Amino acid sequence: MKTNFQQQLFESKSVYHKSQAKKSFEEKILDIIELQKLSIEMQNRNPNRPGRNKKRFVWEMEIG
Amino acid sequence: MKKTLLAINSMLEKGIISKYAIAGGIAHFYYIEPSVTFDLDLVVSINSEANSLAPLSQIYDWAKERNYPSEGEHLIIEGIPVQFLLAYNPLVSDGLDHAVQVTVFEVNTFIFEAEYLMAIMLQTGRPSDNERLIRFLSEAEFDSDKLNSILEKHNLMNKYFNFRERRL
Repeated sequence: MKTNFQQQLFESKSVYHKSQAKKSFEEKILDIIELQKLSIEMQNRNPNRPGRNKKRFVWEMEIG
Repeated sequence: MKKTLLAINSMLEKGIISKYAIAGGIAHFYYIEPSVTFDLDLVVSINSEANSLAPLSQIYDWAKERNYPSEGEHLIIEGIPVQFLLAYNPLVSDGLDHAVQVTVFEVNTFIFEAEYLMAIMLQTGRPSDNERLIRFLSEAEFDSDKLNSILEKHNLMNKYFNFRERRL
C-alpha cells in the first residue's frame, strides 16, 4: 500500500514525465543529444558499463 | 536532423525508395518523453525488385555516391546513423501503409502512428519494448479504439490483456 508521500511523489513524477512528452520534437532531439553526451561520458569512465563495445557517437547536426 | 531528413526525402524523389517512415526510438520519442538513443530507424519499401538478394543495395549505392559512410548496419547520413529496414512482417507493413506525414525541423517527413508503434512493441516484447509500452500508456496521446482494432487485426489482443494484467 502506498504511503501519502509515495503517492505524492508518484503523482508529481507522473506530471513531470507527461509534460516532457508534450515538448516539441525539435526540443526532444536536443535533449537526446545531451543524453548522448552524458551516456558516452559515463561509458568512457566506466569500463564495465554495458554497451561499451558498441561504436556510438553524439550526433553531429546543425542546430536551428 | 534537417539535412538528414532532406537527404532521405531526396531518395523518395529519385524513386530509390517508394515509401518510408521513422520507426524505433526516435518515433517513440515523438510521442513520449525522450531517453537516450544513438540511431534513426527507418522502415522503407523499395521500388525495384532488380536485386532481390540484396534489396537495400540501391540505398547503399546512393549513399556511396554521396560519400555517406556505412558503419555496421548503419549509414551515416549528415552526421546521424540511419538504419534502413524493410517491413519485416504484416504488422510493420500495415504500419508503414498508415504512416502519417508530419513537419519537423521545417521538413515534411513520415512517422509511424502511436497505435502502430504500441502494437509493434507489444508484438516484439523485449524488456525495453515493455518498458516503453508502459510509458506510452501513461504519457502518449493515442486512440484506444484504433489500438484495439490494430491488435485484433494482428491477433495481439490476448497478448495485450496479459501485458496489462502483468505489468499495469
